[in-house]
Amino acid sequence: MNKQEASLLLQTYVPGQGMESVPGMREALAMAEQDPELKATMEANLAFDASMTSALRGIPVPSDLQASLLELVSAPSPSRTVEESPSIMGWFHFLSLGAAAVVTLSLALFFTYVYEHPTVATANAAPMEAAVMDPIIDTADALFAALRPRMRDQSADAMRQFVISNGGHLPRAMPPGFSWDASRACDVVAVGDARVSIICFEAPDKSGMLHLFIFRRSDFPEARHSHQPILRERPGSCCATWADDEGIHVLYSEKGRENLHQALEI
Amino acid sequence: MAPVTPASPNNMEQIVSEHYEALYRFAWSLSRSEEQARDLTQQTYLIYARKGHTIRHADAIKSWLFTTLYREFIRQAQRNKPLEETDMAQLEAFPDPTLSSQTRQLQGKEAMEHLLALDPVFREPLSLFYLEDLSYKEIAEILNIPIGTVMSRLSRGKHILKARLLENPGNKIP
Repeated sequence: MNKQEASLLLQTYVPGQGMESVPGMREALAMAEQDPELKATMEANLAFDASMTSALRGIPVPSDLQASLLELVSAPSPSRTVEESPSIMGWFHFLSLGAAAVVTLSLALFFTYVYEHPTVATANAAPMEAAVMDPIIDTADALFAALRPRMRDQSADAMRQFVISNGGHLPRAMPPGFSWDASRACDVVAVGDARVSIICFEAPDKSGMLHLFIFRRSDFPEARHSHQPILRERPGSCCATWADDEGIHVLYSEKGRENLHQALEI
Repeated sequence: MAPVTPASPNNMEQIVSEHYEALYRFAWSLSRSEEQARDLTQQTYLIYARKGHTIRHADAIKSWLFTTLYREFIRQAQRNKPLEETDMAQLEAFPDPTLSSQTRQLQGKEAMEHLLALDPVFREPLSLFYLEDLSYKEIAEILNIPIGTVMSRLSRGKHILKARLLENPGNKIP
């Protein structure tokens, strides 16, 4: 371990939390004992932490908060309703399915009676899907609507490691227009026992962001999806869905179909 | 202090008194609003009153409370409940901290301003770290991220905080 590595590690050291077991920490502490500059760095960091702690714990707390909390939790029939935190599987609640049915029926009517059928010139473009209820797409829609990836602006290696270490899945074949250098955020979300991987990346022409949701095939054995991308449009976004032997993919574009065409080279 | 039996009604008062201030301060650092911080704190204790009996070990109560509060905050944010603008009135009322150490002087209001200005990715773990002396493991459990990610974000967040404080010549940085 060199001095710079030790210095970085020591900046994370917190005494009394068993951090000596962190890989490399014992060595860094031993180096600090021998090196006054390293020791000063570590002590400066501890002093900074102590000062920040002291400053931030001065946030004023409302004087009546404790009494109101005790009154609230001791009341036989609390006046407030506890709003349960719904799990992701809550999206499959009957009411959500009913709402999804209304939306997809509307889309089906639109594409049947309003949407202009493709001309010969666009005959080779990816087909538009007749609106059908699909739990994969419903889940992806819900995840996209609530998208807030936890890991952002990290290196490609860090993002790959994050997805893998959180039980996510990275397919062997990513979309042709995808580049890890263009990736900006990622996450892994639990859907029941399954894990959905999310990669957010810039379009090849950098005109907008694309968001790829990857479902493991083995988690959804009954799902049937085309190996060729099928596009769907809805207000505010559009997406493409396709499957391979490993996974089912849903790719959202914030900037319209053109970015999907670029990313999928279709 | 003797271990607390989770969710025992007789100990609810103890659990409230032990943790409500830290929970409120964490909620405030997330929401930057007194009203929302109160709401989050109340929601957390209401949920505890209903589900606290599922906690098996008294040692887990603190983490459970912070995790619940954080999840409530996320849930409200995902419902597009608009975050209040930083409650400047409360910030203005921020008392200057009593200086207890000669090694470092920080104005409390400035420290909070810089912390609140951080991206949530850094602000959330730093708030937990500074406000409640939680371990990296506990922070990882509350935020549902790997410990390595906690350490990385704390390190980067502190680096950014120090750089911003350096821009203010009134602060001395060790």
